Amino acid sequence: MRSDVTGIRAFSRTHFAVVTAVIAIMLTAAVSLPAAEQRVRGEYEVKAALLYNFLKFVEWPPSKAAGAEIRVCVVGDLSRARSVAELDNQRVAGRRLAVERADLQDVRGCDVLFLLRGEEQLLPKILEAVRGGSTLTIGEADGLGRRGVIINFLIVRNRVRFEINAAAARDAGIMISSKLMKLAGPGNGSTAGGD
Amino acid sequence: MINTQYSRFFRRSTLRILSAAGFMLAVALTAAGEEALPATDLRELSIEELMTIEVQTVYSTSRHEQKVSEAPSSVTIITAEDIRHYGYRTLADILKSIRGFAVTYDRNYHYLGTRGFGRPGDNNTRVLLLLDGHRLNDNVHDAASLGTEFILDLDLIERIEVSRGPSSSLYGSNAFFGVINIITRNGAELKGAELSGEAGSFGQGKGRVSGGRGWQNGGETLFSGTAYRRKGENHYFREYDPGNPFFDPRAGNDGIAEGRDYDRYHSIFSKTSLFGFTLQGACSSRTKGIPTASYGTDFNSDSKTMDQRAYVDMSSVRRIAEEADLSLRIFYDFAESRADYLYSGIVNKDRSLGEWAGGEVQLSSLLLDTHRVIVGAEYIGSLRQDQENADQEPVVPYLNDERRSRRWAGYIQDEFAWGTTFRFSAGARYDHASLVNGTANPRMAAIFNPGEGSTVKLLYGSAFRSPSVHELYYQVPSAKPPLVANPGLKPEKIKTYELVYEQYLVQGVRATIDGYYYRIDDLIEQTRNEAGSLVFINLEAAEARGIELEVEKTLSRGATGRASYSLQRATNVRTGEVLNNSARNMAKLNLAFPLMKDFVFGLEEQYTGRRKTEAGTSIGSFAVTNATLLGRNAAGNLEFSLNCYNLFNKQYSDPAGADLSPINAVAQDGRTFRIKGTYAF
Repeated sequence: MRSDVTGIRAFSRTHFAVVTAVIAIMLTAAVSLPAAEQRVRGEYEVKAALLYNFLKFVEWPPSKAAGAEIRVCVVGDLSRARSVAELDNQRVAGRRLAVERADLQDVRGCDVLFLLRGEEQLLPKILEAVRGGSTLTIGEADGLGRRGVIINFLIVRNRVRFEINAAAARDAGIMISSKLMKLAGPGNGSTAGGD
Repeated sequence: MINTQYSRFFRRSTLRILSAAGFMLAVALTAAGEEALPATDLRELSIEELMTIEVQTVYSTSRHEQKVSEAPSSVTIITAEDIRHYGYRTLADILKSIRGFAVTYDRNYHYLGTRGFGRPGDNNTRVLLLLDGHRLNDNVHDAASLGTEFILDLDLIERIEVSRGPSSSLYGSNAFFGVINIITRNGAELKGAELSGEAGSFGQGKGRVSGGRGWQNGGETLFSGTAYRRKGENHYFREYDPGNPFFDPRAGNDGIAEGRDYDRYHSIFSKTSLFGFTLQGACSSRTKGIPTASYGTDFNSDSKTMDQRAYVDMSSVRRIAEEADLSLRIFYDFAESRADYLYSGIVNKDRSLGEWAGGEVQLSSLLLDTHRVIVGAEYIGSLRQDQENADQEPVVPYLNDERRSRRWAGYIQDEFAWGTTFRFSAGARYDHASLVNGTANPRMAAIFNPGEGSTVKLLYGSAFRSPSVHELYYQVPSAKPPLVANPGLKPEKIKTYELVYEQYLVQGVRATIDGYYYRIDDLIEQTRNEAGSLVFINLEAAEARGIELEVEKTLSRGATGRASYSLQRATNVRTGEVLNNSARNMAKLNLAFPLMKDFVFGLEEQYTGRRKTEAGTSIGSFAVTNATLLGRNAAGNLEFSLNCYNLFNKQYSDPAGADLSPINAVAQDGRTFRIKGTYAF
């Protein structure tokens, strides 16, 4: 019995050494190996990349499209959406993105306005403030599309989706390409509203 | 002597704990050492590609889809990829890998332990198991099946959501220590047929045929059938060895159970979604030999259990107004457990038969723009809750108990955000059952998001578990020892307090610190009364406190994996003694890393600390290592894997329930192998 116990102990030491070695090798390999397939990403990484891509498919009225900068205002705590903040200084279609955190009084004149989740109570005032300013409003909470936000992010079956309120885009004088319109909407329950 | 043994044990476990901590640190450092992926990576993808990337969400915690970090519970998600990377064969294999969970096996059924509570032989009545939201716990034993008797082939799972802590506020009875929701694959993603075959140690073989397709209007169909058999190995039990001076009167055959560990099952699953309705049907049947001579049966005899489970379920989600979804579900379920127990050569037939039907209706609506309100009601009518026991030849009936019952429940939950950083969730449910008194159970959560990737959750919950029909009415007074019913049992109750801190360190790496306190009152336990009979009573109060650490890396680059460490203490409140089958320390590591382009190597390491058995003896700590090599051909339609379980052939045992007496601990499998191939047409 005694020798048995010692045997197991000796064995587990070998076991331990081997496992540690394997893990060490794996970790080393892991650092040096190229990327494997995509799996799970942070929600805001995906949303930031989508937002960036949206800008290729929207057109502002000529008065607004002239500037060298696209002013992206974020309402809410920007530290929560760091990936969006990292879009600052990136270029899309020859224009530079300028991402800033905005309060209600700063939102007038923004080209893009991203209303973070949890700040929905500000929506009526924001829509009032940006009226006539051709601002592409973007939200990320249930029901915002219906309430006048032009693009609203949704999460459906673990994937980021978005809905487009075409009427709101028209009112703001923003043209959205049909390609983007086609991708909008959670499955067949789209609130995109046609054209 | 005892002292040195103790200190040796202590040193050993300290070493293990330190090494576990080391692993976690290593994982974190590897992650941190990597360059944060340049954001351009994602920006270069098309919108269509971006829309296929998964973000971590969970449905079952709050009965609507939400981010894991905003869910009012500590949540773990297991994906189909994890199942393939680590070669999981049963739900039990999967649950073993989850932080704070432990599984024991008595060579017939698997028993789940959570956070220090693990009652061997309790039929997993304290977790609620759902399959696509359909309740799987039956209506006689309230049992959740985790082994080969589980109704679904693991290859059909898309993801598993594990929500820790009580959820009786949404789900009622059994949602006591947690809710496990299994989500099946989408038939449309199959795009044709799939054939899978595997072979393994101890004469193990399995085959599966599946077919699936999508329909033009967004619907899908999935159909699958599986058959499995395992010859099993011979087992030696010292307790039944006539050469052992303390052998049991039933001893014989040199203590060897010969060919008694066999296992056979088949299962069918089908699902069709059309026009917004989903119709699902599943059935399974398993026969398992009993090598352990449980319930005082003859040793090395043909005692066996036969479990059958089936259901049909129709559900639909309808948008009835802007931001208001109505979910409906109706179902019919069947569960039968039969056993042949041999006593001195006489076959004793034991049978339980459950049949029930019911429905659910739920309204999920956005109110006042920031409140997500969920209101629902449920009804379950038990058509049969029958238990029978009789000797076959000559016929001697011992028990014939027939029951019918019904229960209904109503629940409400509100979740709302207060600014960007605070979220609150509060809910309660009232359950009324015809066999026991009604109970009301609340749950509350405050969730604080100070910045991207930081979450603090403060959780309070309460839950109940009604005594099962088995615990209330099963009796065979002529058995040895006599089994006596106790129709006066009350539901057992739990209250929990939990504080969770989650932090994303760098992209894709999440660290979690989770501390909890649980208190259970009126715990239902089988015990001996003054007359020496076995009876279920509301025995004791118990409590558990613990802390869990976890690092998880889910981002694509290089290795993915999880490492966790749990320190827990579950005690009987009156005596202050640590509960049986409760390890103080547990550590787990899962690492999958790509080898060249088409291979993934999966390594799993699980450490379990010392546990006490029913007889008061103790089982030493152990660590088990599993390894998997997964590969696919260039075209991607053939996938194969080589698995080695218990790579270092570690000899270890699990504590046994009282029904296995005089066996205290059941030896588990040593090193075993499996090879598996799956071909898609």
